Amino acid sequence: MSREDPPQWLANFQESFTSMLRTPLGVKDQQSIATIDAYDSHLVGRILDREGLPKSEGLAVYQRQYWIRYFSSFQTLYPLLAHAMGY
Amino acid sequence: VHIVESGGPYKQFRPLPENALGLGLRPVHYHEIIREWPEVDYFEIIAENFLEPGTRARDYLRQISKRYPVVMHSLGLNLLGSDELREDYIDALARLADELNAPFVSDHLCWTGYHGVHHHDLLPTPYVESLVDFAAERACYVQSRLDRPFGLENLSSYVQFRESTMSESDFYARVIREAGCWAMLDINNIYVSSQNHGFSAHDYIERIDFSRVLQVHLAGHTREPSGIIVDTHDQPIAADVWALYAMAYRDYGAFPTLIEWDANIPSLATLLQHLARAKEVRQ
Repeated sequence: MSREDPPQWLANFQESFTSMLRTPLGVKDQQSIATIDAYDSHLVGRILDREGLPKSEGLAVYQRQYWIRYFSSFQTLYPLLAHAMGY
Repeated sequence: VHIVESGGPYKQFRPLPENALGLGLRPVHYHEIIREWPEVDYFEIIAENFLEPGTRARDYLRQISKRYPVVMHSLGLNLLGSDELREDYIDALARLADELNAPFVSDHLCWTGYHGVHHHDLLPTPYVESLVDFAAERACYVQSRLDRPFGLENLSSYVQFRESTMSESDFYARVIREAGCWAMLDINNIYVSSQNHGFSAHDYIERIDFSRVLQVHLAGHTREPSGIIVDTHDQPIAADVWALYAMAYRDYGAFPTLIEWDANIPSLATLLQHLARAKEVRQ
């Protein structure tokens, strides 16, 4: 097994990022949308500014992808149930 | 010292011919490949799809691996994760690599899960000094356990962190150097991140030691309405990515090249046309 311990900050960072990923998506105009307002402000504060984009927009890509993959797996594993639920 | 010595046996040679052209092996093409045996130098598998023995997928793979070299690309090492490396997972990779006589195995320089839960995504971290040794030792360890060259793929990302003290390209190059492992260089990922974060893709490529590049990946991406480019692997390779590839091959080549396509997968004939394009571009 690897002998190098992870840096102390890494687990805290990944716990915070994981929490952001798992934040449920919202719904607007019958579309799933990222819930940027629910993100941990400390995590958002760690994001480097970029011109013309809110800092949370990059995190939103990860949140959406997390749930899209989750739903896709659900549809693949349980196609009839997904259909019955309207997915 | 431990890191350099452990990386030693796998440092000397690039296991595929330098001009080899390969395709990502996807289920939709199994029948056609076995029926037509197309002119492809090698295939790359997503290792996780074949770890279970006795499946139909393994049967197709067994047939295909008799005719072509098969390299392995995995998604679940969680190299930059704070969790311990999963020995059972590495064992399964090693067994499959042995069975296929895989020329090399690659995974990503990123984290993919936390507290034992896999997130099914390739996730970024801040790039800081304290992470270099951690990542390098883990990569070195994986390479020695797999007993063959191990390549790290550079990440495409949608955020950067304030506390980073080095660029992604410097972090990537340093981990590979200190681990004594290899680069699995994805040129589309460089383009995606360069556009998302506003750095020069050319500068990134200039920092790469191409003598350590096992292979180059090419893939497509999608630009979202926000302007962020997402590494979707569901589109043709963009003109700008072809241009970067041509530049890299001209200035630093040659290297094996593989085309990845993971959603909206086109016909095998279309993928072969992309391989022909790669051949043209580098001439």
